[in-house]
Amino acid sequence: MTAAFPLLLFGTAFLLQITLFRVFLPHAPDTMLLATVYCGVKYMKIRGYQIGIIAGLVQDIFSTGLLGINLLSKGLIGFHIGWLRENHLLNPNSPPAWAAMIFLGTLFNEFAIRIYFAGIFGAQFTSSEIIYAAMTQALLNIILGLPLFYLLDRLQARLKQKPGYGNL
Amino acid sequence: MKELFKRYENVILLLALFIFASILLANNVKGKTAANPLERFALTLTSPLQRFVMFSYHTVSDAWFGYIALVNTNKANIQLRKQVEKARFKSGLLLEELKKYRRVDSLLSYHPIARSGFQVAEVIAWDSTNVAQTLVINKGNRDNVYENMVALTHDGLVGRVVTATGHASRVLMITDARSAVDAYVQNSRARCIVVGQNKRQCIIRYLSRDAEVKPGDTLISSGLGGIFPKGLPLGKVSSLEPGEGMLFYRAEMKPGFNLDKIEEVLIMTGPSNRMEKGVKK
Repeated sequence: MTAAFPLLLFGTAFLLQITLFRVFLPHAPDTMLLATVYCGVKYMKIRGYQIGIIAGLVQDIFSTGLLGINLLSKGLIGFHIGWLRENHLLNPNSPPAWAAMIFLGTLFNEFAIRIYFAGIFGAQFTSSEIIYAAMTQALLNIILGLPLFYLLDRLQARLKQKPGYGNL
Repeated sequence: MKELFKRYENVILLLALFIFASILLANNVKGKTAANPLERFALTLTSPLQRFVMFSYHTVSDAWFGYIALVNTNKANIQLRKQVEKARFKSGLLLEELKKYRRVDSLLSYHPIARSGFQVAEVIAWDSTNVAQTLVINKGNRDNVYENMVALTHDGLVGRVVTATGHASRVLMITDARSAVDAYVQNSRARCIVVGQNKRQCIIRYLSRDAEVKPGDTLISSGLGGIFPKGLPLGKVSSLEPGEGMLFYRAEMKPGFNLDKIEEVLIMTGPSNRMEKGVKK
């Protein structure tokens, strides 16, 4: 099973995340987290784990001096969501399940990065600040993630019907 | 072997992830803000794409605001003409003041910042995480922009260049937790250190409780530390609390520049105290 098409879409979304989104919004949705959640939900544990690591690494590379933290956080998110899916604890076609996974994934990711900054660089965050930032980020991710996941599902379903696309 | 992997698959995968991430994280702590070759490569590779996206946005936005949205321009034009007349009168008076100032100033040693050369750079991308506070600008080594050069706007200091490639550079803003600037309060000359917190406000450390400071006071760079020249405005004191039984104030600073509206920055490329020491070229 190839994930080339979703990756291309998420790659474009990531480019927009670090450029255009920030012209209009103080915060941008985390498209690499969405890619991880999507692959975890759709392609099970191993693919979720692999995509999580790659997505996290890409995100780390596009920041400075953060190499490793997003890789770790997104690798774990992809792995655990994929594990839930593999053990039939998650319906891969249910929007509420997508929303729940995006929400939980965002919370984990935000906490992980802030703990890293607090622990290594001495940044001071109050718990209310972390919760507010994580909730805002989760909301943004859900707002972008649900239509994106739906669009991807529809496109993949349409591509499957065409001969020559195999099980893309 | 295969069976063993299958049996302990979850443990092996998670262990591999932790080990790999730990190696990378340990490397970060050593370098703190130093860019690795991967980051440089990514910046070089993607800066044309980032430029293209921002160029497309500016073209559409210019077309909209330059042509389509020019309704009611005549009214605004008349009002502006009146304002220009008033401003001309005022500028005549100020010109005299300026001449006097120049005469006095020429007698004194001129400030190094004013002698610096500047490069205007456009912001083409932001940080990939919403937590870290970095910007990507469209000027690099080929435009005489190098690491540790200072980025500022007319509202004050923005940060310093941490990664410079041929055509693009990354700026670490003073609001990032990895940034610290030695400063003093402009009026009272009380010394302190402004440290980023990955938030809109910076924290002010080591501001003595004996100092005469009030909210709204301006903070300027002290020039110590060798990167930021003396006298650059940083922002204003936004909150001030005398912590009980403490030697220092608990204070915060609102940076002078607007985080949400930052589109261009000035990069100090000319002679300053830091340049004279020799920047990597």
